[in-house]
Amino acid sequence: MRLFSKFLQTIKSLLPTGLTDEQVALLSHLDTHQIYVENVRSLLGVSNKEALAILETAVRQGVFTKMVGVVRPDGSIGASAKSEAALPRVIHYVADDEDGYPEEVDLPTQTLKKVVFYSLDESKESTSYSSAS
Amino acid sequence: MKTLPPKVRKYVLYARAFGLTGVRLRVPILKDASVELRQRLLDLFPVANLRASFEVKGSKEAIAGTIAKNSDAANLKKIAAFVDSAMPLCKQHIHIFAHDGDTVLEDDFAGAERIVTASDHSLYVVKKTYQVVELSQPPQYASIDFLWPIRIEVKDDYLLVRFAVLEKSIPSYFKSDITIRSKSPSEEQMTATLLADGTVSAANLNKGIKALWAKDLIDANRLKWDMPYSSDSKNMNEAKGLKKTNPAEYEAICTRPLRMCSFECDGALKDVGVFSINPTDGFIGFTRYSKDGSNGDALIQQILADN
Repeated sequence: MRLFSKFLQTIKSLLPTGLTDEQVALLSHLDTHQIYVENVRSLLGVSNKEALAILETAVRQGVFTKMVGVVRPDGSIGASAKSEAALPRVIHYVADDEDGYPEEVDLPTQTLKKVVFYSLDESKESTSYSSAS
Repeated sequence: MKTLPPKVRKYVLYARAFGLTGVRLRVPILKDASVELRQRLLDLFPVANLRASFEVKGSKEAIAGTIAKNSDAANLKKIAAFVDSAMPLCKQHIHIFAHDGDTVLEDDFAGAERIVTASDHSLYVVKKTYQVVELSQPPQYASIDFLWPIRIEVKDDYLLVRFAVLEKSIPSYFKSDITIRSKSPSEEQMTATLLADGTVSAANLNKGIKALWAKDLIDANRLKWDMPYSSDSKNMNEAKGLKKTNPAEYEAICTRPLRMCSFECDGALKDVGVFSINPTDGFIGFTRYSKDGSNGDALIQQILADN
């Protein structure tokens, strides 16, 4: 939890009003594998711009990794990587055909939407623990 | 339209005279099929299996063409036996029905011709027509026929109706891109005849599939389920398994009737890979080609044994 504590410190330093106990509790329930700007915006009651600034600061401080996900037609993420160039060229997808039966299709990544999210680097987290202990 | 031999015409007229308008003439579909139709049937299967079974050399097209040209009864029997044995290698849609154990398979199944009869199953073939639009300049209407293999397996409590999936191969028969306007018959039309007399019904496989899920032999990455006031769905990111990532939600969903879901196998069933199932409607779909055709059967046996 060392990185997550650092994330909370980052937020506190950027928010003039600091964090309430309730906000800390809500943030601790976030799934740190995939945090979106909207998660932070709605939990802290800040603007989109301020939420983005908090997350980008956390990236610069090494707390989070910024990820790019490729979005399948059903809205789920087919694959993610640290950059768009590192994404696979083709995304495998199970879709329903016109009769409602499932069929597997391969979709070119470049034709699909991308989404940015932030992820707590667990490998770094465990390293922090081992170096701390 | 085929001209009927005088003798057959006479029986049809008699039947109509006695009001037997539902009398269907049994036309030998495989025997009467053109060489192209038989070749398209063989195109469904891997070239290695064609080569091994018919001992013909060359490209897949050449092998299938050579085999299809020969309409001798012995060759047709060999084609039928090959399709029967190689059917599990295809992408398949399997409709599973519960029955009272008394179902007897007949020579005719909703207009399909029985070409293989075994103690526990029959293989049928029916002509399936696709009406398409060729997206050329200008766009043109066209149609293409296929011999569609259907295998019905009789078990003590269940009937398994296996349809080979044809769709993926259709565009390869046209020079331009196509869109499919209609197809006939459909899987629903074919299986409707089984349901007609009321002794056969779609099998509910919820218990069987949830038992495999509880044993961690499978995990779902795409789900639909019924709620009291809605139909809910979940598509997992990066094909992650629901149970592994969210055990609490898995527990909640397990109390609901499942609709079309995709699962990935693990443990003893790992080789099966990915499959789709609509347990409430008794449907299982194998959306990939099977390497040896045996693993899908192991999965079905497990689901039915636990059901």
